[in-house]
Amino acid sequence: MKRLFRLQFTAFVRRPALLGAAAVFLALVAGLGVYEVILWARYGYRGFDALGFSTRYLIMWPAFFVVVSYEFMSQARLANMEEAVEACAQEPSLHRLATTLVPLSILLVSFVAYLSLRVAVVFFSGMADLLLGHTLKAAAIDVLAPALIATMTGAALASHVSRFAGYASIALFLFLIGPFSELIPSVALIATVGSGRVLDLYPVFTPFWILPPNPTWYIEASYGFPMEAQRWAIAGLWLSLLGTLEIPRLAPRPNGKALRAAGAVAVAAFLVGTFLPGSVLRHERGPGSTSNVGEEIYYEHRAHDASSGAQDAPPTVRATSYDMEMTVARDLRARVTISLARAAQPGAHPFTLYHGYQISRVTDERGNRVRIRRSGDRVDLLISQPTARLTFWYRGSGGPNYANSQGVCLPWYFPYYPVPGARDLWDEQSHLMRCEPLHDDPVDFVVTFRCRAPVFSNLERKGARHVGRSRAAVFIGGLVRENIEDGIRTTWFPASGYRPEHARPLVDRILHLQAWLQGDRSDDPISKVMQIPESVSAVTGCSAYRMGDTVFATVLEPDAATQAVLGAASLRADRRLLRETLVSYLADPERFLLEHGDAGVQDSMTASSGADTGAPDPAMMSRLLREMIGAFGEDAAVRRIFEYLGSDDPRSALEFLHDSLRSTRQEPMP
Amino acid sequence: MIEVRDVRKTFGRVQALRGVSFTLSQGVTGLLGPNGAGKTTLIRCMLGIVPPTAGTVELGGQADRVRKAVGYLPQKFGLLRELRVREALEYLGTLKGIPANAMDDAIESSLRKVNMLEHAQTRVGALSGGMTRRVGIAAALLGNPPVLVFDEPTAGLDPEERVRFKRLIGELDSATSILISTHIVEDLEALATRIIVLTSGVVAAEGTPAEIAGIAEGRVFRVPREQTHEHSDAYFIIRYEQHDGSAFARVLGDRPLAGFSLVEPTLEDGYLAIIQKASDA
Repeated sequence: MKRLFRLQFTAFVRRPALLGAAAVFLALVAGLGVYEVILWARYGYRGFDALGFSTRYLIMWPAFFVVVSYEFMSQARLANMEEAVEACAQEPSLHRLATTLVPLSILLVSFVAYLSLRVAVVFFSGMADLLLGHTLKAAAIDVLAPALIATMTGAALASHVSRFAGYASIALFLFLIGPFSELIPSVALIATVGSGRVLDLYPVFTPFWILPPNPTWYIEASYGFPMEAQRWAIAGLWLSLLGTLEIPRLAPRPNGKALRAAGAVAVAAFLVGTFLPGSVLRHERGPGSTSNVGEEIYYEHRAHDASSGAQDAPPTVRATSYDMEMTVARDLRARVTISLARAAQPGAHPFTLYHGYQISRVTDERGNRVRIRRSGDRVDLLISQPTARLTFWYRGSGGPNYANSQGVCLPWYFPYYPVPGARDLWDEQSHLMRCEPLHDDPVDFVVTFRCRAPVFSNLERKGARHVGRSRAAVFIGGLVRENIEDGIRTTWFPASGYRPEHARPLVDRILHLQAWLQGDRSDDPISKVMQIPESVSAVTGCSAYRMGDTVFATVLEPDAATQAVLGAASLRADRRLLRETLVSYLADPERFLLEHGDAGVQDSMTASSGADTGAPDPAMMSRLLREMIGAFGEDAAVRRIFEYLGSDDPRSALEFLHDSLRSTRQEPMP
Repeated sequence: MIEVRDVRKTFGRVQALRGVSFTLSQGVTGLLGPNGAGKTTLIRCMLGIVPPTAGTVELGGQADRVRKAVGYLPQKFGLLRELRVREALEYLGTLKGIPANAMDDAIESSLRKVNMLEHAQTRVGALSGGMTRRVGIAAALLGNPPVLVFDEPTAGLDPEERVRFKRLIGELDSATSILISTHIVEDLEALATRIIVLTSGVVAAEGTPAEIAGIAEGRVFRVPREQTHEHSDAYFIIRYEQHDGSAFARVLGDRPLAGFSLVEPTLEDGYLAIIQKASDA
């Protein structure tokens, strides 16, 4: 075998095109790897940001190996060597194996180079305990598996297909596994979303997506590189399928049938695994897309469907406690028992549960099944006799709010458990999910949460249970750590670059702002800080939120305090812009004033006479804010705006600012 | 001695072989047949390259010994163009199971037999078609197998190369069993001790060259060329030839006509008589 491999490798090396391509490829792998090290060492990139740099070029691996293996392995066929080989005394599989080993040896060398550089970044960034295993697994699923699949595809094509058909097949293969293939199902979905009959081609394309999703999107520090069960199943599907096709060539004849049977079983199992529903971190594959697209499409479709019942309906019952059993593996499986303050009377009672969860049954305290009517996120329970306790059984996935073995993101606004009343989760104005807590008043929670990844919550951990009283039960898991420091229990993502000591300045700033803006001197304590995945701000626009004694923030920086204090005051686009402008001012007042000129009140009022009819203009908003500060002084201006944002004032933000500024002209200044 | 018994091979609805039986013994056996007769399929079944649908191929009563005993030159033969001749033979020799310590001698011996020793370090890609064919024969000879199978060995060779090939076969050990599959009768005339004629997947005739030639006994005539247009449906023109300075046609027919003169049949005449009979049937 060694001699056969040596001779095959000699043949490879003597082909200038192949040798040149291999040299360029290895140089690219090494160059990108070294660049990642430089990003980390010189520019201070955080672990994932540095390691994620080359992710966007991962398609070069399957592209190189499918071409090289096809080109190299078709030589024996083109040279009419196969028949002479097949008649030799030894198994012809040895020839096949020796030929295949050449691209595989190049794969091994380049993969080791790739892995070494990444492991170096992981070690030097001091997070080997957290990221080493993760990085190795990511390299296996993102690089090794696609490259192996490509090599086997090239080998299969080389055996059967002529040059023209071979390269046409290779082009198709690369298109299907590449990021642009998502354009087809995406366009089909968007084009048909309002037609009443949605054309969902995603299941057709999903099995081809052996590469990770769109890497130009950020890499979630709590989640890392996406490696959901489905991705392993897809990789397994192709490896077993191509392996099974190759068995007649590789396996000694007597064992071929048994191996083929085993291969067929594996293919079937992985095929099921590919199509089994599961929770994934919602990342689009196409360039430039965001993690919110799936939700937008769903809720836009729902808006076209009048029967979907998107309207809010007030709760008809009040929940006092939740007893929940959550098991997270490929997706979330739940048993939730809700105790009601008063028995629900016979009739229809609306609840809200995210539409991605399929309810298998609902029972009352006597164990009798309760009939349900489901429409999107709304679940109507049709109760036939007074009921004080309801139990829901369901499973599924939560779209952008994922829960799987790799990571958990179940935030305070997300109904992953049933909540009384029908609430519209979607804000049509901003095209974002609303981020108010699920309950107006605190309720008691006892939650048993089973997950392979470490999971933390805003509740108190008592043994295997999370117990506490809150307006929502929040669970965050994955590459997450928890620590108590300086009296604050901090849950944070080490890969994001933050540390527990970053929590204290954030908390102090929040308390300071609240005292300033709300005149709140009660020293309402903050005892928990939970870092939350960036997916939360992507789908809600809310990057920080305070709920009772817990602060949730995507970044553990004092600047996040303003967002936390202003919270989800409003999601209307104009109010959101005003809020963001105010956040920008509070983060660095001097810089803000410097950047937004010295325009007079009269000027901007004249310029914006019709502003309330058009889309809010960020420059105008900034100028008006500056003018407000000039007219009222910082304290009064900021407080007025804060009060406005927290009120039900029907005026638009621009109208509010104009009215406020007009009043300074009509009334004498205090 | 290879025993081929009732070998059948079907590709979909096409019956390529319909029960072929013969014994391959020492000496040169010619496998003759028109294109599409099933010669290559028969050889592929014999060597286990494709499994027969039915029937057996055995050497000394064992099927698995056949492949090990055979040196094979396929109809289309090539080697990795980037390798040198010696390296290419080393590759095939390894696949044949020749031990590493005997490899150099085996390569040198087989290259010498085909008069290619001086090209041992030449890249395969730089060889002419005829030289590649000779390397193919050298590959078949590697390890001195007791059985040699050549499928259309002279296809594409120039006359000089064909003569060289025939000389080479004549020089091989007489204890070797050689099967030469061809549709060129001339290649076998001086070499073969036994002929098998295959038509439409069955053995149409089998015997010594003289026996095969004898099948056309009394049916081969020489006709002046100018008479060939008369009664042309009653005979089959084998070829035109010169005799005593005059032009004649050599024809195959059932009975002589006016001007016809009976001639001694050759192997080619016998072969053509068999083919014609088979196509008439």
